[in-house]
Amino acid sequence: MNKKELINSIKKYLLAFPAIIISILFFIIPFILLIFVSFTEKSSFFFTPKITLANFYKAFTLYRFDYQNTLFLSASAAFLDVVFGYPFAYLMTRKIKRFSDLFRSILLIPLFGELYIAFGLWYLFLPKGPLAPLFEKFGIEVFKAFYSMPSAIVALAIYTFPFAVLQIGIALSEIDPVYEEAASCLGAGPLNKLFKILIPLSMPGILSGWLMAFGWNLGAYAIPLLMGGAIVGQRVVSVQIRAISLVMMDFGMGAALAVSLVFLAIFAAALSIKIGKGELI
Amino acid sequence: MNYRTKEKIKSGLSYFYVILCCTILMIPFLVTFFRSIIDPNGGISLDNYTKMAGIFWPKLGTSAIIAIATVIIDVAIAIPAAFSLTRYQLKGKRIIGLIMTSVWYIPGISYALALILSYYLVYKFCLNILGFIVAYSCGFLPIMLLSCIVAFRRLDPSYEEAASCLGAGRLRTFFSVTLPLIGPGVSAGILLTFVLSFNEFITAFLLSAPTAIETAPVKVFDDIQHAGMHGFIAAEAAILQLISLIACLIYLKIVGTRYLRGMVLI
Repeated sequence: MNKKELINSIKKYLLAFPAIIISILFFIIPFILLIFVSFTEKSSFFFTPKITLANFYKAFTLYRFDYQNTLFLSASAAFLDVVFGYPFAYLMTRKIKRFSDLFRSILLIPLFGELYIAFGLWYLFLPKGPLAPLFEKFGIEVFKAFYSMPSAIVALAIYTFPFAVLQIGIALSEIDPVYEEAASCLGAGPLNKLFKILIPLSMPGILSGWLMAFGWNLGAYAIPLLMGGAIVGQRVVSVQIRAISLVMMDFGMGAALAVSLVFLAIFAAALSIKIGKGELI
Repeated sequence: MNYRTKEKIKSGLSYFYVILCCTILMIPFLVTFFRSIIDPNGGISLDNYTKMAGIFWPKLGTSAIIAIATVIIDVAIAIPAAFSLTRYQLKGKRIIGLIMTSVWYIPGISYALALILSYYLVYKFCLNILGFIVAYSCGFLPIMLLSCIVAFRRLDPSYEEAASCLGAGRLRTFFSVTLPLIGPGVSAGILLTFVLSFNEFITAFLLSAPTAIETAPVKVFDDIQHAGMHGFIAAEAAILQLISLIACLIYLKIVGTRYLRGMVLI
């Protein structure tokens, strides 16, 4: 009888087994390897591993500027997402009835990948591109507008817009419209309603949307490289990771940067899921 | 101004805002498409598409093969996993879920670096097209798993019980009752996995050096770095996006947005 129970309980796990095996083989083991490599000097892991902590020390001193760039880019792009995504999510959940499926499905387009967003906007901002006459009219130098932080932030904001909208939309659709109606019955104006009712109630959604967009922005590669110009384009953690580990062949340093980026992103995502009451599974 | 005109203005403004946001989201695609069909003299021509044809089609084929293989593997492993996670009281369910889904949230560049290291050191047999397929099927497993789990949660277990009461075996129940009922929910995962793995860039970019296999998005990026802004690159990017868009449109036409809501759409 006891044996039968054991077999039964193993059977239950058996169905999930292939997925677990694949995840362990190609996610957990490579990741543990990455952590090991991050503690070794240069490429010594491949020959005789020399254990050192210098990589992490360097990551926060020598590469601090890259971290500042990445964090600033991600945070401000996520902020843009929330600012523009909040009204969007509100209108989509409350006001828009006709064509709402069409608008929803357009949110799939940024999911195709950052490369296409970077490419399209790159052409748009080129000195002889379609937007050049507009820039000249307003007296902005095209080169300054293009090779700089703002263009990268706008591109990143487009890339992560759906993620922020999703989190905010889930929070907003859980708020009963009765609260707003009650507020306006009691004489609250639209601004009062927004700041006293809607934003406090949907604060978890806003925070989790910001964090989710932030976490996704951290790993962007093509957008900072193509849109950021000379300084931002080269001094971003994701670009540095590739340059250091695969061009300069300093795997230890690259792995250390990668590991710290992963922990930042995982922290942001976990906090976002926790705040937004979303579930991982 | 009476109440009705006020309401009309309000709804007009809200539509205006939503359409504005949607247009901004579509601008990169529209601009790329526009660039791909103009020629230097300002006219409209398909020259760019004929120019890029020769080298690009095989790479597109590679991308498509990898994407389809990824979808098949993910469906095969995610449906049973989702079944056991939703139907059984498993011990350590959270840990299992965490192992399988947290890869979705880690930055692509770090995951690609970890994979490359492990391919160099442990899985030497993966330094070919298999490496891409395995990497993608592990990387996009969470999205497939999530859609399968949502589908299983929506499915009432009493259908399966009824089938087994009527004498159907386990396999028969699964294939003729469960599978048709969860099909639409799983199809959302299939669409997302296909689109994401077809367009996956950063993992493919890092893997392209040791494996000497170049997928279509990597070709686009390489061309950008070597040739700068050129019409034929716009044509390549436009083709890739059009394929993804057509896949999405076919899906939305057949199934609608119902099953994508809560996963990637509001």
